[in-house]
Amino acid sequence: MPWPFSIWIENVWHTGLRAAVEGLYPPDPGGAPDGVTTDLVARHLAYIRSLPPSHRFLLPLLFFGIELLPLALAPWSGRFSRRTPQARAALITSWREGRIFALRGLGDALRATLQMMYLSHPSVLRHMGEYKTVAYLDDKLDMPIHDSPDMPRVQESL
Amino acid sequence: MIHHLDSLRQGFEVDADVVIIGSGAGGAVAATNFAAAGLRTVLLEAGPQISAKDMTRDGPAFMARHYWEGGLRLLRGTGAWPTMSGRILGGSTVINSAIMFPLPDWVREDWAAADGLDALRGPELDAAYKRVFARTHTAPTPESVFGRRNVLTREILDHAGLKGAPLPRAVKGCEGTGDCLTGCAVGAKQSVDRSYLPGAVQDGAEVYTCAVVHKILMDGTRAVGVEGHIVDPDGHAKLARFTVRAPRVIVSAGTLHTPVILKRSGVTAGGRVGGTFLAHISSFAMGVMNHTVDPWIGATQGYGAFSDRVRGLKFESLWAPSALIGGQWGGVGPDMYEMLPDFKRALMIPIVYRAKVTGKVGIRLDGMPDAQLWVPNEEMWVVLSELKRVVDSMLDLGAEYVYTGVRGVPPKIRTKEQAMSLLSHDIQARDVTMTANHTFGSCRMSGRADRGVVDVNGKVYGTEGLWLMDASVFPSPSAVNPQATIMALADMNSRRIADLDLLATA
Repeated sequence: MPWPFSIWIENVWHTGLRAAVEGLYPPDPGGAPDGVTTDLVARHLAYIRSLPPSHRFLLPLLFFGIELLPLALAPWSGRFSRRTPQARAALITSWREGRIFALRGLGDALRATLQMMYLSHPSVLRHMGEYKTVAYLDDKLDMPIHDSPDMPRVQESL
Repeated sequence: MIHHLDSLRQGFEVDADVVIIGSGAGGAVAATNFAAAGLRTVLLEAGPQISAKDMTRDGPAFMARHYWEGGLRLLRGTGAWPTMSGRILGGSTVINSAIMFPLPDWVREDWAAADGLDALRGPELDAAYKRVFARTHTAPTPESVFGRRNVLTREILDHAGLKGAPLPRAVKGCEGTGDCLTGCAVGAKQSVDRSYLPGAVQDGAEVYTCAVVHKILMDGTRAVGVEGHIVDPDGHAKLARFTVRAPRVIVSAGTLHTPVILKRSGVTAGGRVGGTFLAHISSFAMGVMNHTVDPWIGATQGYGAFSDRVRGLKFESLWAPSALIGGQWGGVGPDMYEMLPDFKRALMIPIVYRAKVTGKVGIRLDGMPDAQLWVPNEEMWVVLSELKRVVDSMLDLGAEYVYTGVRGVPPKIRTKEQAMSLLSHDIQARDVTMTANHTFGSCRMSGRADRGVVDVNGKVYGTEGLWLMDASVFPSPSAVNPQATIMALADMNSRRIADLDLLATA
């Protein structure tokens, strides 16, 4: 495809991704890590690059659709990213809870893919109180490790 | 010898007595028997071998590299439901919970009677199960690794009137890390890369990783080898071609990939290859208790029970990386943030059911399987009626609320009155959040050539030198986790092909 067109497409879906992160992971007065703290946009881009080819295409398509679909459904409201973060969250919620199967699927897919990345950030795991009793030496995920009162270390040696 | 990507970048061409596609539950067992019988054995695996440096609890990162389609594969049809399988040496045995049940007698009888597979009634299959269970150290999960989640699951199922037991698993020295779905870093899980493949390699099997088979080479109706590409697991680039020539070809690529390889090779069995497809359907109850559970501690799936009301329906404990558990659970923005502390108090009890479903497997434009599954609403209502028992029990035992992922019921069920909504017949099957990881029957086994793809020995009708050894041959769902039956059938059939029993006698 001609390069200006491909750049436009990339701009659209990157904008959709950033807008979704801002809307779904806003700063939290309660202290939960947000989309910025968890570096969600950059991590999601890296995640997409690690996927097989078909999904390297489908996930950008998802964010492309999220960015432009509101324009198609309600042209007066503009693109997804032109709405306030609160309005973006409300829109995704309405899709997920609505009766139209395709929009439900779109909302669920967006929420699932972002939430998967969000919940695999060490700051979120710490906030949730998650921990393990056995360390992985080479794991890039910095999982808290300590003993559990319910799971004494087993004596059997490997 | 195990060949890794670095030594395969130029491709390869080899001759063998037998070539096996797929190193999972079926392929690894078959390779072990063939190598033990002295056959020149080549085993091909699409994914890499996992090593200590690959081990991570980052669920999305692990799945992107070690699951087919990055763990994002969906079944089409009634809904859009995830189905996951391993793309790694050892196949899905590396990334499942290692639950090992033999086929229930009533299912075995159903297979034997309905599909003319009388040979399955005999002691040969029993002996195969015995060998498989012994080699994988299958035993009930010890309570010492239950953690609070499995203990609580037992209490909830007991309270619901469901008599359960510790789940039998292929594990030796489990430490209850709850990491089964991202591999077992402590080396306790007896996945076939640990329990079988070392023996196969010791007996001379040549194992090629990162080798994705495109098609089977056919000479008329005779299988004479396979060809495919070496594929980089990072980036998925095709690097080089390979060819293996062998008079015996075993396809153990799994329920979804086996029919794709056969179809691409021109083996269709009159349209029956991929013309059927079955799966266990499922649902779950996620209870948020009024006390800490620490669900990430304890055996991934340590306790379960069979329904006393519905045959073929099973309850079990489960935990997975929170990143996967939390994909659908909860809202967005501030609503989601409020939910985060609930993880610590959560436990999940999935239900798996041998429903009457239909489906088929085709080929997508990108060459991946295109699986469709159709689930009648009535079958899903059976699941939801049993799910209500669990929800009620959770509420009785102090759950603050229960999340089920079912559209049309309150997202936070707080009372038994609210739980009644699970019995509504307004709920459609596609309203239920589920995964379908137990898949079967895309190349069914039958005693009649006009009804199935393979005979009772796994041999493909109308061909020579071509056998299937995975869950694609199951005539109907197994009602229990399929791994042990895949392994036992592969053990029995590969021993027949290799005449291993005869050799032993001699």
